[in-house]
Amino acid sequence: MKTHRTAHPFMIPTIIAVSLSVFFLWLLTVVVPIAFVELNYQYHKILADFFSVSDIRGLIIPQFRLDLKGATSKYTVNGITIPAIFVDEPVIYNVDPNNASAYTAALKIGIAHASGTSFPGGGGLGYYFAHSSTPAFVVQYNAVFYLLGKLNAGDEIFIWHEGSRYDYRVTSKEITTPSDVSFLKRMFASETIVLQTCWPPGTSAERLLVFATKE
Amino acid sequence: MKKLVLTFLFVFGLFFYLPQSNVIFAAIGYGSGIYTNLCGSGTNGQGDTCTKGCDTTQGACTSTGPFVVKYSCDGKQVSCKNNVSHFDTTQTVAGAACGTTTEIDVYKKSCQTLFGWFCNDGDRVDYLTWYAGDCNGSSTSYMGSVPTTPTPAPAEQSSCTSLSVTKGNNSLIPATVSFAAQGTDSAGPISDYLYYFGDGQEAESPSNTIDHRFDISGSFTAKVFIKDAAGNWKSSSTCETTVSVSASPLETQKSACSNLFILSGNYTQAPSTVTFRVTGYDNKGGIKQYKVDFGNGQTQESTNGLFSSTYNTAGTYTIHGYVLDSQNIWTGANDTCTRTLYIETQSLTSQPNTGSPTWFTIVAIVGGITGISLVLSGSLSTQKVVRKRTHKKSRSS
Repeated sequence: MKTHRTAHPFMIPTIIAVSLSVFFLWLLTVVVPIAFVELNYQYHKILADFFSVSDIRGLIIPQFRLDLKGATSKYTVNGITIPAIFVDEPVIYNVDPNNASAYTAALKIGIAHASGTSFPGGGGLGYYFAHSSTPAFVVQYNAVFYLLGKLNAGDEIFIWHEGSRYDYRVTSKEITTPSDVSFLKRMFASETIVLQTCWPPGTSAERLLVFATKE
Repeated sequence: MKKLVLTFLFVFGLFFYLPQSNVIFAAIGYGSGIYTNLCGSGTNGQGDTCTKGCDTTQGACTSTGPFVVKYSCDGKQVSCKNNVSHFDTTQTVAGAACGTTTEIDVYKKSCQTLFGWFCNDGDRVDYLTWYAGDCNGSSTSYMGSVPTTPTPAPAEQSSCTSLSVTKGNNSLIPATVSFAAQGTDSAGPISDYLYYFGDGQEAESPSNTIDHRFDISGSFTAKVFIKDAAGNWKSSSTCETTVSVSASPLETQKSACSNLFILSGNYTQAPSTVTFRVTGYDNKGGIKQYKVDFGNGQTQESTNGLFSSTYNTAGTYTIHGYVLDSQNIWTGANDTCTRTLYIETQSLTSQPNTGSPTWFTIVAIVGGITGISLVLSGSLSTQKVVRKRTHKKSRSS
C-alpha cells in the first residue's frame, strides 16, 4: 500500500511569510538608507554641477556661495565635512576600536575617532570610521560613509577638533580585508587621516580605506 | 715519510674544515637546540643593556610589563625578525618546530601601538636567539660566534645631569642669561639639547651652552632635555634651574603658564600612571598654585607644579596646564601648556565592523527570491485551477 506524504497546509505560507519578512526587513534597514543617501547625493550633485547652487531655493533666489572651506558646516566644534560627497556630521573622539559596544554606541551619534590615534594637528595618523550600512534603526548614521567610495584624490576633507579646523586632501583609496591593520603601522611623511568603512555597502566582507594628508 | 704525509693530511684537513672567520665554540644548548646568539655575545648586541629578561636555562625571557616579543624564522639564523608575535610579559622558545630559529627580544616598554612601532635599538634590554635543531635529528653542533659564557654588553646609560646659569642671573630686564647643560651617554656624544627657558620660549641646539634674552622680570624655571646617541630625549630633576631677572620700576604685571611637560607615562598601555610638570611665572609676586586638567574630566592642583594621574582607559588625551598668578587669576591652556597624551589600547587585530553582516544580506536576498517565487507559483497554480474549473463549468452547461 502506497502512502503519500503531503505538506502541512501552513508550511508554504509560513515559509513565504518568513522569507518575505526577512527580505523586507533588509530592504527597510539596509537598502532604504543607502538609497536615501545615494538619492540625496545625486540631488545635491545635480544642483551643484548643473545649476551651481547648493539648495533648490537657489534656482529662484540669488545665492551666495558660502560653502568654501567648510564655512557652512554644522559641526564646527567636533565634526567632519567632506564637500565632495556632502558629508557634514559630528565626530566622537576617543572611541575604543577594540570595544564593539563602545563604538557601536558612538556610531549611532556620528563618526568615530579611534582612541590612541592622533588628534587633528597632532602630527600622526588619525583613524576615523563609520557605517556604510547597518541593519539598525538609526535614521541618520547607518550609511553615513556609504559614499566614501566616490571620493577621489584631491578631494577636500575638513575636520574640526575642539573648535579648530584642520584641512586635509584625499591622496589614495584602498580596499582591504577586515583583519588587515598594517596601515596603522605605516610611516607617513606628514600628518595623515584614514577614513574607514565596510565594503561593499550592505556587507561587512571588506574594508574601504581613504587616506588624506594635512595641507 | 708516512708520518709526514699523515701530518700533512691532518693539518690540511683542519684547514679545510675550519671556517675562515669563525672559531669553534662549545654551543650553549637548551632542549633539542642551541643558542645561535645571545645578548652580550657581540654578534648583535649593540645598544642592548643585557641587564634583565632572558634566562638561557629556561629558554625564556620575561619582563615586568608586556614588553617581550617573539619572532620565528626558517633555518638556522643568528638574527630573526619574521613572524612577530604580540607583546607579552613572558615568551618562551617552547613549541618551536625543528629547523626553525626563534628570537625573543625584551624591550623597556611595549613598542607596538595603534599607529606604529615606535621603539628603537636603545629600547631593547635583552634578547636570545635559539635554533630548534635539525629535523633529521643530526647533531646541532655549532660553529658560531656565541661564547660559552656571554659577557654582558656594557650597560649603555644616558642621563641629563645638570643645567646651570653661568651668567646673567639677577640682571635687570632685558637680561641676557647664559645656560650650561651637562649630560652623559656611554654610547656616544649628546647630539642635541632642547632648552625651555621658563618664559614660554624654547630653543634646540647641538651646543651644551646657550644664551637667552628675558624681556619679562621674575623667577623662571628653566629645563633642558638631552638627546642621547639612541635618539631618546631625556631630562631629570637636576636638569632644571631657576633664573631670576630683576624688574624695571615701570614694568606692568605679567604672568603666564610657561610649559607643561609629560615626564613619564606617554605612549604606555592602560592602566598607566603619568607624571606631569607645570611651570609658570609672575613678575609681581610669583605663582601661587598650579593646576592640570588631565583631559579625562579630572583636574588637580598643587603648589610645586608636579602632578600624577592614573589613566585606566586607553585614549588620546589633551592635557592643559594652568597657573594661579599673584592677582588670583588662573591662566594657561596656551600652546606651550597643552600636550597630547597617548594611552594605548591593546593592539588592534581587526578593523571595526561598520557594515551590515554579509550573511544577513545573502539570507535576505535568498529569502526574497524564495518568497516571491513561492507567491508567484502559488498564484499561478491557483489561476490554473480557477481556469480549469471555469472551463469544466462552461462545457457542462
